[in-house]
Amino acid sequence: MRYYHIMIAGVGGQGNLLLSRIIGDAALSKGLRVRLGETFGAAQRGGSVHSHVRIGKEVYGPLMLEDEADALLALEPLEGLRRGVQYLKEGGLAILNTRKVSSIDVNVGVAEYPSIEEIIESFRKLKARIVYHDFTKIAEEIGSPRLMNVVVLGVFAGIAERELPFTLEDLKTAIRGRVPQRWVELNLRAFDVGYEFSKNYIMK
Amino acid sequence: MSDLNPLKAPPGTRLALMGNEAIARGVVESGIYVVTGYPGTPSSEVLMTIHEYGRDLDIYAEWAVNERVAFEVALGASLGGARSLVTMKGPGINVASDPILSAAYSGINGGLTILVADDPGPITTQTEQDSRWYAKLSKLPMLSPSSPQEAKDFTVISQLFSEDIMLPVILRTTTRVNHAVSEVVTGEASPPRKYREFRKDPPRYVRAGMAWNLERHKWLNNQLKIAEDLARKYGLNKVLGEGSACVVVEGVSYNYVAEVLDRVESWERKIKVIKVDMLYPIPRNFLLNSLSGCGKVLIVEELDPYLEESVKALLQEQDLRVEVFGKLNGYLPLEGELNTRVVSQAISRVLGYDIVKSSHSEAVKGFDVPSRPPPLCPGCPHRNSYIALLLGIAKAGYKRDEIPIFGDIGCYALSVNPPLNAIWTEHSMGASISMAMGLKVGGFSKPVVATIGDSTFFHAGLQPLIEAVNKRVDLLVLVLDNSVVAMTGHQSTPAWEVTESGRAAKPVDIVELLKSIGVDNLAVVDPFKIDEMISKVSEFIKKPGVNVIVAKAPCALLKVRREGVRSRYTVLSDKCVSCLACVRLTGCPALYIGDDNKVKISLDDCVGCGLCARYCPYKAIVEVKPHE
Repeated sequence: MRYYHIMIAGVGGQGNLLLSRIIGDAALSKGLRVRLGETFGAAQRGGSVHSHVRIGKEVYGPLMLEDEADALLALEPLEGLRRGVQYLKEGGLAILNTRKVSSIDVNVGVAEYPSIEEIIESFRKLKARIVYHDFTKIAEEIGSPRLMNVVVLGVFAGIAERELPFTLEDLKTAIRGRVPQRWVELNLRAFDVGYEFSKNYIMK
Repeated sequence: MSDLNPLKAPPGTRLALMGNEAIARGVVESGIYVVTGYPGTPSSEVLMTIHEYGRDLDIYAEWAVNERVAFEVALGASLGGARSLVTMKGPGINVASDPILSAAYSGINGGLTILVADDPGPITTQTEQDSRWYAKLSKLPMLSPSSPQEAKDFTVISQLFSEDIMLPVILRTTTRVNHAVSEVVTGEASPPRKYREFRKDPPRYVRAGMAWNLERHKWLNNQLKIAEDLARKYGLNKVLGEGSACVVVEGVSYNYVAEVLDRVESWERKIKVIKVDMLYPIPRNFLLNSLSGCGKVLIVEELDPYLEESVKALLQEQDLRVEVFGKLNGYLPLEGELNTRVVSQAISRVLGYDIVKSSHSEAVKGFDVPSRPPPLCPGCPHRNSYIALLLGIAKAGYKRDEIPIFGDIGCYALSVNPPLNAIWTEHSMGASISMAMGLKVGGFSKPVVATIGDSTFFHAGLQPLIEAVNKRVDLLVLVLDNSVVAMTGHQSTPAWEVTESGRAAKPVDIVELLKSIGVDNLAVVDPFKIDEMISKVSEFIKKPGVNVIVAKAPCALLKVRREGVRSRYTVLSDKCVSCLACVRLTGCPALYIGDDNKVKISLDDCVGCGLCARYCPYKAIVEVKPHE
């Protein structure tokens, strides 16, 4: 493995940055070099946010090239489409949360939100391996929609288990290190539920 | 988790740190005692990291009212022998530049580092200002780290360098260093260096004597002569690889070059990379030595051709025939940030390699993904304030587009987006009031409005208001007081009773300030009592004089964090006729349109402000108490 690249796409407030830090810590614990590049700071909530996660023996730049993501963690479908089209490599893995977060432009009728079917079709054109589901719903059932990011991480860890340069345990250790104490147990549960989901998922 | 505490991890620990966290670690390792600054993306997390992880460390870590004051506080500490660091974003150094230029003549005693974070892109800044020119302008040494590891290491070096050369040292970063995360190996912590002595020395510290100033200018120029030796002493400036094809690079751009060359078989035997870590004074001997033997040189840097001009001047002066490629002859762009692809293309063109091929699938090109501009948060008081302002203007009998609304810097600048489409300008901290005044004194006959947040008012709004009051200009000013520096991540303002570090502070009252300046009419309103605010706007906008409305309500995110959410709203589907009045008026991101075309409210996002319900013509939006 020369590099492993993960693109995380979502909306401000969905826990995008936390996911990238968790994955970064897990990779670091395996002695790999890590570069995370993200843009944040302008909006507290609701804007488009994406993180570049680059792992490898030698990585320098904080940003991956277009068409270089091995995996896309799409916390929101439209954001997944936006970054997937730009960054996901042909045959890459896409974990897509199908719960939409509307935007003002869409609400006031300036723009149209594509249907989930159209979005999935776009990923198929990229020959992506795609796992899609309303992961927010799963998170709500566990206890809070805020856990959706870690559910997605669990799904990703399950599907990509054999190609990842770190183990499930590394990810769990990183979760314990990054999440406030009182939330650790729920987050680990969310991770496990996501992982179990992936094992029962039949890729269409 | 203590092992993740970036400030307390033992030496030799490998941590994944953000550039700004690494700089905060550098503070601890270099024994800096006074850390101050003004929040600004991408620089804010340096102080925030100290607040989060180092409250019990013996460090004075406080936000200042603006960058100029912050720098002067750091300078005063340094003159007494304490080590200090001041943080700001690019435009902040414009504010601080006056005392910075004088400080170059006085020199320092305790190490003084000026962290200035530029923002190529731009990602969150009003201009793509290149603050490297400030080094040349102020004649202060400047270091440029390329990664979080170097950001930490150079913070430590900047302090030692500063004390050796007796000058403030500018640590210049860019967003992709400040906000990038990568592995950092920690060093030894050093106890904070506090006050030692301050000796009276007017020729050195008093800039009122012109003969003294001339002497100090000579002193400054003389000091700069040792800079290159110091750079060598601290291991700055490096050459990697060899060959007659050369690349000169600094800062974050080094990563893009390294990334490209990593994909070239044994590049070290073909290409020489000259990495410049000290940008001012230009390391002449280092550059001349490393450029000898170069046939072609590509200069890779973001924003202005700062290094390129310096290298060209040096080559010309020495009559060296080397072909130079860069921004001035179109090999790299003058605007925007660089990335591996852009750098790869330039290296390929100049050095004749085809390194990073573009192979992106055409399969989905042309798919138009709708944009997602950042909205004001659900329950944001600024939304109410601007709606009240626009409706108040209408109530006073004016058309929406005949009353200019001057904006300022903060979350409320998002009011430029639909559906509010409110502000006409947003330039620099505090400019709303003075620019509105300027339009009036220039001859504009209708009313004008300036809107400014509380922190921005403290930062640079007071003097413009004094000017407007003093010159008897007719002006309506809205102070949008949400009790916090919201946009950069909830930092304290001078109105706080306790700062982030736990320090007891004496709150400064905006209303008392306004009274003492002598504004003509003053009202404090709650923007959630929107009808009252509308009436106040329509009343004040017609009155002569400087009239100020303080719209006071805490930032919605802050309020939720403090108090939780007490109630939420929901849409009664049978009453909703899909008129979308709520959506089109408020633009609240908690509202969305369901598959049945009716409006829904995301319960997870709604904080219960009730604005949408207020403007539903069909009374279809109702409050839900938590336990219903």
